[in-house]
Order: sequence, then structure tokens, then C-alpha cells
Amino acid sequence: MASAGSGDEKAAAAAMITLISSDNEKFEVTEATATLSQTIRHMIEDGCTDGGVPLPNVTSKILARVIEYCKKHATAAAGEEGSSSSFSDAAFLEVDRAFLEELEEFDDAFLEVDRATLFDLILAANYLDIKGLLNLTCQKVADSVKGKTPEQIREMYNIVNDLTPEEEAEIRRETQWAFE
Amino acid sequence: MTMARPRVPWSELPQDPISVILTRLDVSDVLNFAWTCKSWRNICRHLNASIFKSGTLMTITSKSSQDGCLTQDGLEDGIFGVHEVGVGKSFDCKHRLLKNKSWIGGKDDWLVSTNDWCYTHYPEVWLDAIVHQGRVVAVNEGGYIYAWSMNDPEAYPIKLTTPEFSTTGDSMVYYLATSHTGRLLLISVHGEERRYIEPGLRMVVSEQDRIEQPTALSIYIYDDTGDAWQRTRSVGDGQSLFLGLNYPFYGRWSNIKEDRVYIVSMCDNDSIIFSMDSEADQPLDKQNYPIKKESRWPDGLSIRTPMWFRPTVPYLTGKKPQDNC
Repeated sequence: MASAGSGDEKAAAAAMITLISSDNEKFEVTEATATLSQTIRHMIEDGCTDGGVPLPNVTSKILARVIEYCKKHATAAAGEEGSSSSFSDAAFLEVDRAFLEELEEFDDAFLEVDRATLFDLILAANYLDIKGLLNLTCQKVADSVKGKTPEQIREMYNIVNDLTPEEEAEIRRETQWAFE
Repeated sequence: MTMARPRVPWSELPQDPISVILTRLDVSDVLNFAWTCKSWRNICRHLNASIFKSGTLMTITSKSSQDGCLTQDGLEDGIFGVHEVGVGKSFDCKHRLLKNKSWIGGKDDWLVSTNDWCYTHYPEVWLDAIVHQGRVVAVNEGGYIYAWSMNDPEAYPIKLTTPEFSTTGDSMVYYLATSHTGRLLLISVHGEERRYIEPGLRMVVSEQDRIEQPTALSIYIYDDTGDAWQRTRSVGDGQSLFLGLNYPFYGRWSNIKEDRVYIVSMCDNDSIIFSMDSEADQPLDKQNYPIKKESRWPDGLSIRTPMWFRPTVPYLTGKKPQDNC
């Protein structure tokens, strides 16, 4: 049983999926990489990935970045499974820690993008339902608005203040506790 | 030729990413975020986004600085500290009505504020007063309890009996509350008498500060028909009782152990916790925010007395506030 199971896993890891961006570019990825996206995982489960998976909401530029993220983190996920089941000695944990540090560095570097790209990455992570990527990109937005006034946030994100004076007055009244 | 960069519609960010962002912000940032544009505001409201959940148990104090000390900084801007009891989460808030102000009492999320920085000790004092069954009931420093009818405030008060206190000889202070079954409670705290008043640890020197260190606490429950008091060892109903600055109240919070008495601002402590399950009823624990030396009286007049605070939050709850206020 066990050997049959691991054989299936190997087969699954080797299976390739084709993702098609909105501008019709094709990306070949392993199933392990693609299934970090819950959206794609469900498509695979439903058996509707033959002939490629069209992703009309994601451009090739963004899809390339998303795949880069998924590849790195799919390896991490595989490593975690291995460590929990069969390896627990100190040497392996040491390797594990080094890898996690490397992953953190990867994430930091990955986030060094302009705001427009960040926006597209958030939308893609949301649409493709990639939890880790959504958390990572949203953390960046959260960090950027900390301690900022509404006006500073608007400026940073090119947001037009469309609140009417009446609505602003209402907010002022509602939030007496935290605002002057 | 340079192309005009397409404007990224951040205001159209979907709800799911916004909810992820909001969980990573503290309350003042959530409010600022929600004040950015209509769309973000509506999503924040829809998500009920705030860590000021209605009824959260908090204390409010002066602003706390980076090293965790209470400080007078921000007083003129109306900045004060809010601390989630049990969770240990603290943050600063700001309110224009608290510029250069302190508070001397309140009920739930109402504050009675003052800019009169008083440290006055009165020669004879009422230690606590509550409204109970249509009467104002007050206890004085001798442990004598009087009740005034609210229908006839001119009438002389009725004097209730005083419990037979199990401990004598110590200095004692008293609090009043209503039990969860609607009966009058008298809470006595025993302790060593304070020899001298150290000036200015707190803005309001509460009269309960006349004891130096609390050693025991007892609860007495009043029997209206027999005009008699009976000692009780339980706060009851799996709750804890909260006394001190702000109206006495009961509560049950997942992070607070049941059958405790919490007293805020007592004997130079921000709060003291008493257990009811032990025979001794001794204070269990203290919560303290250290105070910066320069903020103390007479150099600084700005460390405001810690007070219970349980916000009721109209904002971000989806309820439309009344327009007539």
C-alpha cells in the first residue's frame, strides 16, 4: 500500500499543467506548483485542465511572478511534509531552518515591486486563491498604511477622496474614540 | 515617448484582500484605513472591522511610551492609552475632547472628564456610591451605609446596618455593587494603613488609596427584608466582578478567570486581582504600568488614573448611528 501511494505521488509531482495568461502566453508548471492555487486545484479535481488552464484575469507578466512564488513555496511545502513524517534529527532541522530563512529572503525580495505590480499580485493571489501569496502581499500593504493619516494613505495609493462632507462628519462622530 | 501610467484602482480592491489587510492593523490604523474612500469604508463596515469589539474589557490610562512606561507625552493632543485586559494588548488613542483633560469616573464607555488637576483629600468622605433599586446607596469611610430615595431627594437617608466585618484592626475601604441576582453588595478591602501619601502617582488619589497594601477582600450580600448582611465567597454565575473607577460591573471573558474581583486603580496599582476561591481572599496579582519619573507630581500633572473601559462600538458594526446627536 505504502509503496503504491508514494508511486502515485511521484506520478502527480511529475504531471505538468499548462497555464494560459490573458495575453495568451503558455506556462508549463508541475502539478505540485499549480496546486498551491486552490482555484487550480479544484479545476484539476474536476478534471477540466486538458488543453491548458485559461486565466483571463492574469497577465503573462504577473503570472510569471506568481509561478515564481509558487515554485519556491511548493518546494517548501514538500520539505515540510518530509520533515514531519520521517526526519526529526537535529541535522535535518538545521537544514530546515536554513531553508526557511532562505524562503524568508525570497519573500522579501519578491515584494520589491512597484505599487501597480503589488496591486496586480494581490488580485491574482485572490483570484487564484493562493493563501500564502495573499498574506504576503497584503502584509506589505498593511505595513505601508500603519501610522498614516487617511490623507497620506490616499496619496500613497492614488485614491480619490469620494466621501461627502456629510459622510466625513458621520465618520467623525462614529469614531470619536480614536480620532480628533 | 512616455506612456501615461495607467492609474491603479486601489479603491476597487476586493473584500477578501481588504479583510486580510485589516487583520494586520490595529484599531487606529483600521479607522484611518476606513476613512480613505467610500469603497474601503463600506467594506470595513461590512466586515465589522475593529478591534474595539463591543464590551471588550479594557483599562484606559495615560499614553504608554515605547518602553511601556506611562508618560505625560501627548497630553495636549488628547492622546491616551488603552489596554486590553487579559490579552495584554496596548495601544494609544487620541481624542480631541481629552486634550489636556483627565477623567474622574464614568460608566461603560462614558467618561467624566475634567481639566481640574486635583489631588484633594477631603476630611470626611464617601468611599463609593451606586444606584440600587431606585435608591442612591453610599458607604462612608466608617463603613456606614446610607440610602436615599431617588423619588424624594430632600428626604433624610435611611441608614442600613453595617456588616460584622470578619477582620478588624486593619485599615479598611469599601466598594458597593449590585449582585448578579440584583441584591446589594458591599465589598470590603483590608490592608495596612498608608503612613504618608506619596504625591502624585495618579491624577486622582482615590480614597481607596488610604491603604498601603491590600491583604484581604470580603464580599457581603444584603438581605432587604431582614436588614442584614451575609458573607459570600462567590461572585457567582461564573463571572468576575470589576470595581474601581467606572460603575461596578460583572463580566465573563474567555481570557479572564471566573470568580475573581478586579479592582482598578488601587494602592498605586493599575489593577489588583482578588481570588474568591481561596480561604484567605488575598490579592492574587497586580497589573502595573510603570510611570516615568518626570511625569509625577509635582513636576508633571498628567498621569491619569486607570479606569475600566468597555467600549460600545457603533462604528464598523453595520449599524447606522442616530442622526439626532
